[in-house]
Amino acid sequence: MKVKNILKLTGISMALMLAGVARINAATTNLVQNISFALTCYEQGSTNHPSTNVTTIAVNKFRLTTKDIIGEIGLATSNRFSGKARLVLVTDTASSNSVSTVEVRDGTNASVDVSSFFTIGEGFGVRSLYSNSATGLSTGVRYHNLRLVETNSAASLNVRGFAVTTRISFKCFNNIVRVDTVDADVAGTSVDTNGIAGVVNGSLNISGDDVKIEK
Amino acid sequence: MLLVGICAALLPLMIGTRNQAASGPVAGGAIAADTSMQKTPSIQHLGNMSGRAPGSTGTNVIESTSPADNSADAANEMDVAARIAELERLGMTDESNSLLMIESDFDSREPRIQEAAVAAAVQFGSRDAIPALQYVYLQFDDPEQKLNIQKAIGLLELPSMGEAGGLAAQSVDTGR
Repeated sequence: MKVKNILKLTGISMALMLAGVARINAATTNLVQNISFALTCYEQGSTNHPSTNVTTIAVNKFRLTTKDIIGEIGLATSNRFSGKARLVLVTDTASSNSVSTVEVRDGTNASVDVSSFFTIGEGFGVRSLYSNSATGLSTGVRYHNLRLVETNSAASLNVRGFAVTTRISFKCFNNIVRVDTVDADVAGTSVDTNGIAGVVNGSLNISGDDVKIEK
Repeated sequence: MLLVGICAALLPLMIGTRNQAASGPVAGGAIAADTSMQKTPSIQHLGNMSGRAPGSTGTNVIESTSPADNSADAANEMDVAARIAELERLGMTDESNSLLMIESDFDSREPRIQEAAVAAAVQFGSRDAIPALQYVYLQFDDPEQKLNIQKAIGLLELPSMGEAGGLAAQSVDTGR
């Protein structure tokens, strides 16, 4: 009985959702996920000769997080993002080809599409899968190589590493929404805003499963 | 607008909840309230699916088997997902009281929330979080959680990129 009620509610809710969609012109249903960097950057430091027989060469270490990446993008795009700006991966859930954009979202300001600065690729991997052909829903985990390149006129980052991508899926507006949560240990190279090259290591995460209707 | 709100409220029923199909943490299955909706009026939030923290690798099945059990599970997952979303938001702010709210979840017994809190502290980027992280490091026995906290402390101890730019001559590692 309960199951029947749930099915009824589901049917009603689907109808309501479709009606809701019809009322919103030119809106898309987007999956919005946070992109998060937590990296350590190592750059060549200064060479000194503190005494006659001694030479020291230093390495400068600093942390490189999402706010820094957003700041670099702000420099490159002449945008002054606030400290609350977020770097997000936006996927149109109605799109069948899973094309995503990378955006900086800063409060109520218009989103800035920064996709052109990013290249995200997936290398060889293996996966587990649970798939139901009746519902079209699937879940699973992929273990794979991941590469991310972020290049703009102010700085660049080129990392790759081992990634675990967890997929879940659910239905929304008759579309099957696939949510990939990425957790990667990465390493690579960087060039900072002063043009200094470095090596980096740390983590990269793409997480969150907010589904929103957006104009 | 109202219709979409109703949809959001009903979405857990449509989604059902998931049973753990493989080893690893359960991903959960619920909607979370989205606080960002208030900040972005042009965006209507429909809900989200899970409360997994970054790094969670559970494999989950999205068919409902027991609606009664699932509703309680969904409610719990809703709370977890909402808190994780809030922590992610707090980590990307620059207000000092945000750090206090982040720190309050450093010792959460829900591992996904605890992990999200530590990650949020790193993104927040204040060394003020280090003492609280050092304290909770001693409270946990789980090696993975300890390592996660240790990494966060290590990152926060480093200068930020902005600070490093102003300290170009400073030698952090002199090879000794």
